[in-house]
Amino acid sequence: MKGKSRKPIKLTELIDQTMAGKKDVNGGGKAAKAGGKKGTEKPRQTPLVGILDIDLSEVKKRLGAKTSDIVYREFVAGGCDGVPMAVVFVDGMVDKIAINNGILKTLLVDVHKIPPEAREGKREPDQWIKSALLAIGEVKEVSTVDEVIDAVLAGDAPILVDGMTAAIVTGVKGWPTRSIAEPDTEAIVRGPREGFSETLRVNTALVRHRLKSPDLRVDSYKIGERTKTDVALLYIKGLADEKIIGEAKSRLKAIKVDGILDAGYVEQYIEDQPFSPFPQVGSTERPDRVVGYLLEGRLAIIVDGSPFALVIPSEMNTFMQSPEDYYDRPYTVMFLRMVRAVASIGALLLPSFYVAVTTFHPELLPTPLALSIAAGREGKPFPPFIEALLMEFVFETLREAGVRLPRPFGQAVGIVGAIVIGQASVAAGLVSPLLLIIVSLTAIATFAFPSFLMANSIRLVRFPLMLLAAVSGLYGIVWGLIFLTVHLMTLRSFGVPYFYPWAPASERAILSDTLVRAPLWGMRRRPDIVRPQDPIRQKKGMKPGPRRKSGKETNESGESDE
Amino acid sequence: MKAVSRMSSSPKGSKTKIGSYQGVMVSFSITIGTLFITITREVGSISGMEAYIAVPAAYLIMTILLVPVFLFSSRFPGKRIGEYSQTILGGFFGRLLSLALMAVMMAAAALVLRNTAEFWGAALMPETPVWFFLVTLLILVIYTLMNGFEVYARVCQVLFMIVIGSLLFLVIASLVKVDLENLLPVFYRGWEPLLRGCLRVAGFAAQYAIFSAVICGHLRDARTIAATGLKGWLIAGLLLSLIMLAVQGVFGPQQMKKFVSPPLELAKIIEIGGVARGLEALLVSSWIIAGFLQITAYFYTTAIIMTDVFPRISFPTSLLIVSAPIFAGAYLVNDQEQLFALFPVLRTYLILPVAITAFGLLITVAFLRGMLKHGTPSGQKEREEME
Repeated sequence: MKGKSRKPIKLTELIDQTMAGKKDVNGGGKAAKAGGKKGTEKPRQTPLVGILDIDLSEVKKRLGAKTSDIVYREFVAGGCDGVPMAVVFVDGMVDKIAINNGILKTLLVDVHKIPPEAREGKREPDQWIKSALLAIGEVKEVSTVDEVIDAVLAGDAPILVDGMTAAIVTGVKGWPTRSIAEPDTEAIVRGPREGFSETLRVNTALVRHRLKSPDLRVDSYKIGERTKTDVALLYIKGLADEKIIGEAKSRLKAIKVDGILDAGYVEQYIEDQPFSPFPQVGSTERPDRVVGYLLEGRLAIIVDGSPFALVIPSEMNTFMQSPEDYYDRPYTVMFLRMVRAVASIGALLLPSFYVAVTTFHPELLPTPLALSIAAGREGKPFPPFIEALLMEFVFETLREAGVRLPRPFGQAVGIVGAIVIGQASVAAGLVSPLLLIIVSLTAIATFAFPSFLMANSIRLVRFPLMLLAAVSGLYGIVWGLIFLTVHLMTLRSFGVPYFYPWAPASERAILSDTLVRAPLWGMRRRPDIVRPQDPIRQKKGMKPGPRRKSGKETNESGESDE
Repeated sequence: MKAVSRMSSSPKGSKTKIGSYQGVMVSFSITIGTLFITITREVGSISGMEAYIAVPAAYLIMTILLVPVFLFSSRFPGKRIGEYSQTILGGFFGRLLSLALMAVMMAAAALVLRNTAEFWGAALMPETPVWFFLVTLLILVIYTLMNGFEVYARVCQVLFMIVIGSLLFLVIASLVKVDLENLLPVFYRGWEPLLRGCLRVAGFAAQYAIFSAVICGHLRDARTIAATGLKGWLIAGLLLSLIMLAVQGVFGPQQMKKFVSPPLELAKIIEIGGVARGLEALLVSSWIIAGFLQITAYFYTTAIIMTDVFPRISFPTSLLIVSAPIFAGAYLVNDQEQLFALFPVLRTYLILPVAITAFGLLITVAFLRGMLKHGTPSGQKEREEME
C-alpha cells in the first residue's frame, strides 16, 4: 500500500515542497522544467503530506473554503488524545446516514469500545480504522490531493488523517435519483417495463441483474476534463470481438473535451462518419435490449447522467428492430416488420411521390384518381412542392411545439394542428385535401419506426427527395434514392458494413433476423458480422415439442405412449 | 463466406476486394443492365421468329469467349487485364492492347449513357433536355466510383435485386397475354436468322469478357473466379431469354420491330386482375437503376484500364479524364435513330473483333512464352501473396 505511513520529514521542508509543488507523484515538475508540451502530459499531482492542517488547507484551497455545499468536518477520533481527522464531502451528493453512522459515530463513539490491547500490533492508523472501525462497504486509499478532490466531487467522502500520507475514501454516494420507469421512447406491449435512469451504477446494476455472467466486463472511463463524467464500456469477455473492443476503447480514450453531459456527446465523438444523416451508433433506454445486444457479441456504452445506453456496432437493420420482436411469436413479428418496412418507404417517399406525380406525371394515375386530384387542386395558389413543403413544415413545427410544451398544452397543440390548421387550410383553399391525407400518413409512418434516431434521419432525408421530385419528377426521386443507397453503402459502424446483411449479403442472417425472424430455437448462431468469439448461442435440436425418451414418445404425464 | 472476410479490420474497410456473390451481382450490371431494352428490338428485327431462341443459344455459345478470361485470372490472380497484358506482351504492346480495349469500352459507355438518358426522356419526361440526364447520371456515377469498387459492388447487390425483381414481375405479369402463335413456327427461313441474331448477342459477350477481365482482379478468392463469372453470365442469359420470350410471345416478331423499346410497351399493357394498371412508371424507375449500374461498370472499366496503362494517373483523376470524352460522345449522338444504328456497329463490328483479337493474341503469346503452365513463377507468387 503506497504512502500509508508517516515518514520523518521536517515540517518546514514539507511545507516548502508542497507549496512549491516540487515533490510530485508523476515527476511533473521535471517535465514542466523540460518544457513539455501542454496537453500531452498528465497534470502534476500534489501528494498528501500527512499533516492534517496542510492537507486540509490544500483541499480547501482547491475546492474553495467558503463554497457553501462542501462540508469539512474536523474531529478527533478516539478522544482527546486521539488522532485528528477530517471528512470532506459535498452536501446533497452523499448519504448522510452513512456518514453519521458509518464514519462519525464509529470514529467518535465506537472507537472507545475497542480495548487498547486489540490495537497492539496495528500501530498504523489506517489499519485499525479500515479493519476495525469504518462501517462502510466501499473503502479505498488515495495518496494525492487531486484524487481526494476527485473523490469529493464524485460524491464520496474522503477521510484525511493526521499522520497519514494517504486518505481513506469511503463510498457513500447518495443523491436523489429518478426511479426506474418505463422508457418513453421504446414503449412495448409485451416485455419488461424497466428503463435506464440517469445514474450509472443503477444502469449497470440493471444490466448485471439480467446478465449474471462472470464474463461481463464493465470498464470505466472518466471523460471530460471538467465534468469528469463516468463512462462505462460493457461487453462479455470471450464473446465480443477483441478488435472491436480495442477500437471502442481507443475511441473513448481519444475523447478530450471539457464536458460530457449525455450519451449523445459520446456518440458524436465515436461514430465513423459524422457528416452522415444516419445514426451509426445504436441507442436504447432498455436494459433488456442492452443485454440482448451484449449476448450477440456487441458492446454497450453507458454514460453517467444519461438514461440512454449506446450500442456498437449497429447496422441499419438493428434500427428497424424492436425489443418486442423477440418476445412475440415469429409470424406476428414478421408481419409487424413488414408493416414497418412499408411504413419506412411511405415515410420516406409519400410526399415526394405526390409532388412528382402531380407536377410531372399525372398520366401515371388512373383517370378517376387523376381527375379527383385535379379537382382538389383547382384554385390552389401554390404549386404542389410549395404546398407539400408548407404542410410538412407546419407538421414539424406542431411536433416540435408538442415536445416542448407541458403535456396538457401539448395535447391542445395537437388538436389545434389537426382540426384548426388542417381543416381550415383546406377550407381556405390553401392546400388540397389529398395532401393533408399524405402528410398525415407520412407522420404516422414516421412514428412506426422503433428507433427515433432512424425516424429523425428519414425525416431529414425526405426534404431533399421532395426537392428532387419538384425539379425532375420520378427521375429525381430515383436519382436521389440511388445517391442515398450509395451513401448507405459507404457507411460503417466500427468497421461493420452498415447495410449488412443485405450488402454484403448473408443469406443466413437475412433468413434469421431481418424482415424474416426465425423462431428463437432456430437462431442458433450469433450475427457473424460482429465476429463473436463464440458464434454458437444454443445447442442443436432446441425445437420444442414432445421430448423423445429412449426413442419412445411420452405423453403429458411423462409416461410412455406405448 | 466467413464473417472475417466481410468485415475489414480497419474501420474504413477494403475499398477494392469483393466476394464471389458480389462479383455475380456486379457482372449483372453489364450482362443485363439496359440490354433487355435494346436486345429485344435488335434481335427481334434480325432473327424474327427465332429471336427467342437466338438469345439463349448465343449465351451458351459465347461462353467460350470467357475461357481465356478465367484462364488468365487464375494465372495472374489479383491482376487486371491492363496489368497482365503488359506482363505477357511486354510494356509497349501490352499498353497498346489495353488502350484499344479502353477505347472500345469508352465508346460503349457513351452510347449506353445516351441510351439511358433517351430511354428515360422518351418514357416519362420528353420535354427535359437530354444533357440534364447525361450530367446528372455522370455525377452519380463519379460519386459512386469515388467511394471505391467495393461500395459499387454492394450497391449492385442491393439495387440489382430491384431490377431483377421488376423484370421477373414483367415476365410473370405478361404470361396471360402470351400468344403461342407468336413463337411458332421456327426455322422456316433456315438457320441464317438465328445465326445472325447470335452474332448480335456475341457483341454483348465481348463486352462482358472485357469487364470480367477487369473485375477478376478484385475477387477475394481467386479460386471462385470461373464459377462467379459463369454464374453471372448464365443467369443473365436466362433472364434475358425469359424477357425475349415474353416480349415475342405477347407482340410477335412483326410488331416488335416497330417499337423503340418492346419491354416498355409490355410494361404499359400489363395489368393484374384489373386492379394494378399503369405500372410502367415503377418498372421504368427500376430500369433507370439498371442503366446507372451499367454506365458505372463501363466507366469503371475505362478508368481502371487507364490507371493500369498510366500508373501515375490516380483513379479519381482518370475518372474525370474519361468522363469528358464519354459525355461528349453521348451528347454528340443526334437522336435515338442514330443511337440505335450505332449500337450494332459498335458491338458487332468493333467490340467483338477487338475482344477476340486481344484475347487471342494474349493466349497465343502466353502459350508461346510458357506462361500458361500450371504453377508458373509469376502466377504462383501472386497466388501465395494473396493467400
